[in-house]
Amino acid sequence: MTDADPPNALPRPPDELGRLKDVWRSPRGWRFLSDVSNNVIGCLFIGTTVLFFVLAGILALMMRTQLAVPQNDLIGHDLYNQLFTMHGTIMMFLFAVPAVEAIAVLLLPAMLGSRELPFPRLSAFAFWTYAIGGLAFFGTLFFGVAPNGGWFMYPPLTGKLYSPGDNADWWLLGIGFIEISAIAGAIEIIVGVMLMRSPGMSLDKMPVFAWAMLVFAVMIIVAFPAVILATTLLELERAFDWPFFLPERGGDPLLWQHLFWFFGHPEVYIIFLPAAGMVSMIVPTMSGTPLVGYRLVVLALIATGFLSFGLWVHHMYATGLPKMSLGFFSAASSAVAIPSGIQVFAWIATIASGRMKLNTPALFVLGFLFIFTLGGLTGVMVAVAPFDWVAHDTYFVVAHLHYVLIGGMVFPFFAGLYYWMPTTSRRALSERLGRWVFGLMFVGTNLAFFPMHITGLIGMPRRVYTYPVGMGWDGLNLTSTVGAFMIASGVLLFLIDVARNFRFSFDDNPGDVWKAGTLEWLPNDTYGNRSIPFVRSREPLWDQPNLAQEVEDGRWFLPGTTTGGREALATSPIDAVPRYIIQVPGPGWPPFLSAVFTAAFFLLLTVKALYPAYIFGALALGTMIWWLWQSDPGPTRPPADIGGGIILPVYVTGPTNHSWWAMVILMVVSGMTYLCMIFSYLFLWLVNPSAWPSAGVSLPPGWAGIAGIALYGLSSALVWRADRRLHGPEHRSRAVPILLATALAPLLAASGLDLWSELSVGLEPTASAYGAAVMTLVALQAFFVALIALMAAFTLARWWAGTLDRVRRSVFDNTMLLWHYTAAQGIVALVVIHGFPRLASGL
Amino acid sequence: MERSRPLFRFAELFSGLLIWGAQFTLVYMVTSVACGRGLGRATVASLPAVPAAIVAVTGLALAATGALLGREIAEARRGADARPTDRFLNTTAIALNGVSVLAIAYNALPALIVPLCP
Repeated sequence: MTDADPPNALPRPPDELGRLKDVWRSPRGWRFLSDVSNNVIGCLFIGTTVLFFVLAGILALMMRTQLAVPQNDLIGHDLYNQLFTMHGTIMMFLFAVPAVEAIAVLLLPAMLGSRELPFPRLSAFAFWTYAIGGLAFFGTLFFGVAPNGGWFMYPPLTGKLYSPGDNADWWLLGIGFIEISAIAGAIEIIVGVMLMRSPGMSLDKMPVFAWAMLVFAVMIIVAFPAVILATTLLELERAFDWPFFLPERGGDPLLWQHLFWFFGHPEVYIIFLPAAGMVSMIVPTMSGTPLVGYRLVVLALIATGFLSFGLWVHHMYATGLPKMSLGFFSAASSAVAIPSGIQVFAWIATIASGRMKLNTPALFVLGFLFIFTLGGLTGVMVAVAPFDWVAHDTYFVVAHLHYVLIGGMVFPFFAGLYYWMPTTSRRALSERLGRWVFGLMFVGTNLAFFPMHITGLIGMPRRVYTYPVGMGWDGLNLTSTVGAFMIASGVLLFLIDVARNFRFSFDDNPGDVWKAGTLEWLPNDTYGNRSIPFVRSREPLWDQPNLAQEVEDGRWFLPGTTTGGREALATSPIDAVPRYIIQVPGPGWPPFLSAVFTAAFFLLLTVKALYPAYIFGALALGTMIWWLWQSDPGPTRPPADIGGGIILPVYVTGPTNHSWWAMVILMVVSGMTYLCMIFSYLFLWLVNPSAWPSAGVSLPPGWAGIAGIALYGLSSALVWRADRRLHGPEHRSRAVPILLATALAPLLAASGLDLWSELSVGLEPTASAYGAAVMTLVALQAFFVALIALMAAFTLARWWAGTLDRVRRSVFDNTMLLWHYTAAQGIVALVVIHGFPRLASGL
Repeated sequence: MERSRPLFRFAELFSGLLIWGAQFTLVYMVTSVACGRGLGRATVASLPAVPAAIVAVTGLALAATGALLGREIAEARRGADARPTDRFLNTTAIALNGVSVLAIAYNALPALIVPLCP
């Protein structure tokens, strides 16, 4: 494809636009709950994240009021513990990560020139689970059962002995399942960015925000499984007495810290990189010139994403790890400052090479540069182990992390809200109020957090609910409190501005008020752009002067609907060459209902209401099956013309298909979870080598391991054979369901044999860390086998319903992919469980 | 037209950083196991075993990343008339491999200057 003229002639058929509007129309009234459009879900998502930001901010104000004067008795220590735990948890899990995901859900399709994200129902499900679960989680404060062990929930403090109530369980189950929402969003973003860009938008022309979100999403699928596993292990310990973190039975609390921070440190960059992406979009617009060093900025995003996984131990410098290990993490912690610095210099160079308009978004960007750079500098300080030993657990760290997170995320987020509001509202936000908002927040942030560096250096520990007179902390704390209230007044002013000016609208908004160059500023409606343009540069609106009019007139690709339903254009991952038309699902109840039932399941489980929980779990499963039954529509019509004589299929399978990509990403998530469990197993061996296996337990017989490996291999081979038969000359070979059903038997047998062989040698998960670790490896594998059994039943049901054949086979492909993965995971588990102790006995 | 398989092209792009990740994991594991099992003072051919292992792993990682870097540089020299997207991927791969070489070398420095176990 070249930079040809628009492919479609004018005038367009008279009913084309009307039909497009009809198929993309949002449900009205209470039926809006069934809406899945990225525009509606994105706005709801952003609004909910702002709500959580305000709620967590109120908790911060309560804490700052308590600390304003020494020996204050306004808030007791128990409530204070809940306040700082909830503040940190909500800001990190319910505001920062969801906020950037929400902006992506709203803006990425428009920025990429796509009508939708690939799985709008998944976005809706992710939003509703997050919103319902998050509000229930916040509600625990009103009943005195909010988590109180700190946002990183270190055991043994959060173990059953020291936290006997339900407080910790609310964190473990509540946050654990909200992470599912983050992973769902990440899958959506990766597939969207890779497969749904406008034609011509090759990787070198992709907006920096899309690059940032791609790196962000990849980081989520690698990092989040660690915290999901950690919360599972701690909940297993609390609920069933499996001693992963109890030293007297071979556990180790440091295992939690490793797993948590393997997620927790990348989390900082997971939050920062999208914010940096927003800044890279705003700075060129406000400076009126393309971003300086686009390639270097992309390099910096990718390098930061990778290097951030080598930093987790820098939160554990004070735990007595080998000095050389600390050295490795100190080196990586310093190294990551280099790519971050590259971005800062690129923004400064862009500002210097243009003429920056100092309006509200630009002010927030400048505030970000100042505050984040200071936070980065103190970050380099605490990356040095000897300094960290001095500053550890003091207010210096509180100052550092707030400079990084407020500077690195909150300021860009507000810049983004002011910048992009005109794409979704009838009116832009007020420039006059915006300057006040910025001024109050900027001064307030520095007033609140700069003194904390000093309070920390003169010895004030973090998380104390009060302090005595005469420590030299009084004035500094009072100043911090004044600063916190200044930030709050800035946020309040922002909310007033939103109430006065924000009026949700896509077809009647001010448009490109900043004279920006990227596609999200094209005229849009509920269907996105009227037609999908061919992109020739990184700033198409600057370089293709008539583009907006051509798009609005329907002169570019896919100006109507070819299938009579919602559609989007799928393009190739590198060059963005049109590949096929995705049939996008429209409004429907399954995402909302399954989110409600899933949330109910987890919440009831937390309060130990087991039978109601099981009922809601079954309902959640049922609605998910209902949802999935409607997927995989098949080739509902012959290939269609999208304009310019380009004929594309409306259905493809295999590695070109978007659901294939999603399944591969899900396998990466699963693989990371299992890898983290193997790491946990090896870690517990390292602290406990003489008890591997523990006393009174012998290793399961070697033949059981070999038989298990053979059974997994056989199962995989049978599925492979079914796949070959499905690809064969017959449209619906009868061998396919027989082979699939047969393949299930060795899979179930392998998992059962594994469990039996462990139990037969006296393994008890409660007796030792060895028993708990081995049983978790076995149980995780059994979970995957059960999942495959369910997917096999679903696939067979599709076969018998006549909705699966040689052509319409995405359901089979996805089942097959996860099946092979499960078999491979089972083989790895057997090698570890049977092979490692025998190998380690020689060490 | 898209010339190469996208996943393979992405793997090429990130291979240097993946090697950095492998080296980082290996040197951390070796150190942890050595200190955990009391092998911190072990020697091999009268050299301290753990630093020697770290240097060896780092040498291998540097060689592998260097080879990838060389390959990408050679491709850049050959492809003066390459398409902009290919040039972009090529220069990004060069830069990422270059960053990886620095990160790998930097990562091994503690082995030369910091005592092994607490």
